[in-house]
Amino acid sequence: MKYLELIDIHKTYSFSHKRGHNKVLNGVSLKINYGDKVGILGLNGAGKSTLVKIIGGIIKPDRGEIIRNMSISWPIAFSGGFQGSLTGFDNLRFICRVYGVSWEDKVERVQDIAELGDYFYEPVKSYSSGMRARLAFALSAVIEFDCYLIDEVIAVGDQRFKERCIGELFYKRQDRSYIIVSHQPSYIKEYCNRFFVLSKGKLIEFENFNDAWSYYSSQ
Amino acid sequence: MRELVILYRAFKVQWRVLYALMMREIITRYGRENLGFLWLFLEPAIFTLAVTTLWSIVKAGHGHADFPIAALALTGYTASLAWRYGAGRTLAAVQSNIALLYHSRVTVFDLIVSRIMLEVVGATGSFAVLTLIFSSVGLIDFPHDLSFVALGWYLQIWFSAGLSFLVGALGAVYEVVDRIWHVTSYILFILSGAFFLVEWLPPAYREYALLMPTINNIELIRYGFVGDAMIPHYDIPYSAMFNLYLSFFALASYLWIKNKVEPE
Repeated sequence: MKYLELIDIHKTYSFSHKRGHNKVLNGVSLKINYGDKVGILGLNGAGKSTLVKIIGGIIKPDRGEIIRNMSISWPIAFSGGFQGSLTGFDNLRFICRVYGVSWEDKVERVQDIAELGDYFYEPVKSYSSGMRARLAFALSAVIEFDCYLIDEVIAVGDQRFKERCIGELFYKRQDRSYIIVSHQPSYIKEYCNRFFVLSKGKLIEFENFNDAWSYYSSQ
Repeated sequence: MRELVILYRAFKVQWRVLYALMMREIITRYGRENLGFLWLFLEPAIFTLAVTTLWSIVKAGHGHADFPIAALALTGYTASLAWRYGAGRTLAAVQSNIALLYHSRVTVFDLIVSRIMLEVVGATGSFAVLTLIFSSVGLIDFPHDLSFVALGWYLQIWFSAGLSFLVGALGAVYEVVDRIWHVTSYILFILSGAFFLVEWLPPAYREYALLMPTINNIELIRYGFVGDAMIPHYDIPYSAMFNLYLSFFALASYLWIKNKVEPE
């Protein structure tokens, strides 16, 4: 059985301008089985991105254990995962090389999802945030993972892009797991089957979306 | 057996990541359209030709014998390429690639090492190609004893890799390293032995000069080039030990900083 488990994760950041520190995650535990669709609601600054980065293995928690028994994508976000002075095409080649798959047959697919046209061959730093989101999403779509980590990124795209995301992730890969963190309810309500709120360093699970939402919005 | 398979896979992933990073670096370093790649050869070539020209003008007044100045200029300059450019590149390695750390397979170690590998290959290629070209046109004699050249070059590359790794690791976290490095690299370049022979120094200073590992390495390379046209001074075990300590120190610095770098 494939699963992902976080056991009592703690993460604290020190302030640079004064003494003291900010306890971002204060004992977070979570077990996800293959196929679970996890939605995590959190206000800005609640530690959503920190949690996603810890799950993705990019940063280490100060304390706690992570058991990764399934392959987990990098956090799909506006920035991160690709390099700004490279073009979208260069970034595709880089990612394919890192994950050990051929890039030649992926160009068309990425262009199809991201719809960047000639911008695919321009440096990423010249992209709008919508274009970045499309590239980030398209790049992750060409590498197969058991679990996709999605940090807000779907929220910015236009309607057309959202439909593509839905097609790629929620239909073509409906057997997989994904973890969506967001401060907005839209996708979590529709496409998740487990609902969490990240608040004050703790992750709380709710029976259904409505309970999670009423807790979240009463903060 | 199972451990071996795991180790083999880990090496495969490690190599894949380094290869991907080197290919990524080549794009921005040597560019799609600029002269970046050619410059790797042009820079030491111009230096060597300029020094040789200046020397022959000066020589006209002083009456030195046929001193192999072109060989000394070429060896001194190319032997310094790997550490100068290596450290210069590793300093920015982490900051300019920090977004790539989003892939958990890519580590700070990989970002630094891929840049070092590229500089080592570049400097060695430049050195080998220019040696061949210059010796075939008769500007220098073909190296007299390649084993000295190889040993000196090996020690120099080891030094360059160690120093670049140290500077890159500390520079990833401490901004001040960048400022210190700019000053240090000039002083180091002057003291590195790139521009003089130990024999030229007053005898009393020679043993102090050999405290600088690069001086030992460059003496070895030059002796391999010109043979008895110079009296070499070097201490191979000292240079190797220096490199060993430098490598330990560099790895210790990496362990110190490795969890301090976090992508935004």
